Amino acid sequence: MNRLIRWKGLAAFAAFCLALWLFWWLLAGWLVKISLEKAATAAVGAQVDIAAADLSLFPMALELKGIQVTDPQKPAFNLVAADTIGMAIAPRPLLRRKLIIEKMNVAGLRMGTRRSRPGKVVKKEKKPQPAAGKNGSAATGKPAAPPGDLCLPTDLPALSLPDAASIVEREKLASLEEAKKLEADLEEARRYWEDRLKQLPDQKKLENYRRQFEAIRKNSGSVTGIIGSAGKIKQLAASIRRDIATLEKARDDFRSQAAEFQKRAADLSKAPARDLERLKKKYTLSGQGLSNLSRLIFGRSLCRWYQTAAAWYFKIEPYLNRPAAKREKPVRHKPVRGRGLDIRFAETSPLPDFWLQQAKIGLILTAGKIRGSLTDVSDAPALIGRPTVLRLLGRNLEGLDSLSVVGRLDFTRPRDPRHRLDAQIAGFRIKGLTIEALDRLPVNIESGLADLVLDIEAAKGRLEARLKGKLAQLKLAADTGKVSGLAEEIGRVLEKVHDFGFRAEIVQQGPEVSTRISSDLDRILKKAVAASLAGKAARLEKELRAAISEKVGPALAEARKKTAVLGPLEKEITRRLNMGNDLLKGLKLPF
Amino acid sequence: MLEALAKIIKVLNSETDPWQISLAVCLAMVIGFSPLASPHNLLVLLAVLVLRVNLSTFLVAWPLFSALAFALDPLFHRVGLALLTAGGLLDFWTALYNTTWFRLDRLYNTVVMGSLAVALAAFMPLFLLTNWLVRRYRVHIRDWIAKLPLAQTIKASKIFAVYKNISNLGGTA
Repeated sequence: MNRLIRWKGLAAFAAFCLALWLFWWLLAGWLVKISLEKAATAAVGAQVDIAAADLSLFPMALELKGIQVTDPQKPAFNLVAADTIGMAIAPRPLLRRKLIIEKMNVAGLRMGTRRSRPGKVVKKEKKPQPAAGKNGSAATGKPAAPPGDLCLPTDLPALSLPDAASIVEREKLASLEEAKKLEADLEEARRYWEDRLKQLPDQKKLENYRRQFEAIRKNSGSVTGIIGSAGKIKQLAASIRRDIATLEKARDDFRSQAAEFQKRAADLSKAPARDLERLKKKYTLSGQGLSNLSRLIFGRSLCRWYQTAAAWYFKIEPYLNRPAAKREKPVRHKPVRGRGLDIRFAETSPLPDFWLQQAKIGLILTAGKIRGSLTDVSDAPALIGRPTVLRLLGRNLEGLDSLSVVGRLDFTRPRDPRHRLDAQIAGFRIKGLTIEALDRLPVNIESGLADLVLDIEAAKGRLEARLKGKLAQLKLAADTGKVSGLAEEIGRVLEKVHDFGFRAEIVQQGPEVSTRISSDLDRILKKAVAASLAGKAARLEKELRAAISEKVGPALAEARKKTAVLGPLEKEITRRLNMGNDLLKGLKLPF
Repeated sequence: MLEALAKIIKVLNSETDPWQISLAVCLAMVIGFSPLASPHNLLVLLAVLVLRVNLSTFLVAWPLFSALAFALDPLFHRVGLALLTAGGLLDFWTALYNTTWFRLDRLYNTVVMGSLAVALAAFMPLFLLTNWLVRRYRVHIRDWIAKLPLAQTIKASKIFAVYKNISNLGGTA
């Protein structure tokens, strides 16, 4: 036996195992820290720092300290930072390479904190995406694009209306264009008819018919002469009739065209009125135009919030929406060169690769501490059959009576995900909040009290987001230094507003996005601005009329004058026609 | 490389049992072909230490088989893929897949499975072949080399005596 077995080897093996354990005890935390930093940096696309990691085996737990996740958009700031994250890990699934975190405690979670030095931003490798619908990601059909019209710069017609002469100077006037066109067309018609007249039977030709007739009549003295002359006269009459028909056709064509020109000339006299109406609409503001000012005022801020929410959703979605593996056939995962393929088989008690069962969150905002919980975060929600639920609750915070958020991301049916978010903010004391209202018109809420209710629902490719708000005890200050006209007027009116309510709704179905924003402000602003607008609009109309008349008048007169050039042409055609008819009537032999 | 060759020759020339050398080569093949971090390699290591295999041979053969494994990677992948996707073995693998050991050892990976399968399949033939080669060497080649004038000159030199003393400090098996 001793010839086969080396008993000292057992001791050597035990020593080796002890060395492994020592290695673990001394370096495991550091190795976990390095691995987590590397993996998280790759996932986020920006530097992730972990000050320390402490891993224990019995019970299996991990504690991370000083976690900082760089914001890829603003590397000088953290996206999130946490003082400590402690977690209890299920050991048996870990042996099967599944990370099941039974409990997690996140303490001192902060958002947007400044970093001591800017974090590195790494370029993420573009991975091929699963087949996605053109309006969103593969399975969900959720919002793919923000409501573009909301995000466009808003501009208002000025209330201090511009000078009428300068408007007429820079605007293209349809009446002027029409007058010039009519004039040109008349000139072309004149040339055409002058050419055509040359081709029509003229006086010379008709006189020639008369001479031919006289000659036939002289030669019809005898009986044989009479018989011969009758035939010739018949031929001559046929020629004259043909020419008369040609002339009649030309006259009809001419009259038709002349009538068209007359109609255009008559219409041209109404063109300046149409120009006036158009410019009035453009440079003044109707009551209808004032009916949805709140959309203009709040639209861009709402757009920004929507874009931020959508960006976060798309960041999170790929990690949460992994369909469950089918049980029927082994699944092949994409091979990494030189590392082989992982062939996955059906599991008798399937578990996701990652599952955070329950986390307690302590979020620190400037207003104070908010407590919350996060449950069932998994890479395969369909497998665990539970949606991810986030709950946040804060009471008696600084400048805020209460905050409540309940979010539910439900990917349990990957083809039909349903999500919902309800948020309520009560007694939010606003101080120095600037709303980027209209272009170059920042409105500063110096103080005020706000109650907000937000609910978002996404299901079956349709997203509905509703925000209701009530603002009271407001003290607004609008910086009207860079604006004029209506924006300035709005700024002045806003400063007198002390409370108002608003309601915003975004509905997205595929690429179609509809937005609706209504507010008490519409009524207040409309009433205040409309009166000021009316007098100015009437004055502008008068000035515009005069300016248009001055600019277009000569061209109109010229066009009207040109219509007269067609008169002699018609007279000439009629004269030739009369000559032909007279000639035809006189074609008689004296017997 | 020369040092490794010298070690092999030294072992071959020693009185070590051929099976000790052969088993060392075979176990080195298993550990060399498999990815280093595979948990089953702990068992191989236990076998190396507890069984009276020749450690020098094992330590020389291990890196050689590791280097060979890089070249044989595509073969391991193909063998592993063929085994893991064989229709008749689906139930067998599914049952194994649901065991902790199979998952921990990543035997569902084509390279891990393929390398282990190739190593196990080659184990016995390699053992017998190495045994036969060691015996043949000792009977036919060792004496022939020893009789060469160059070998005798080296053996007679003082340098060789010093080398022998130093190398004997490391022991054999």
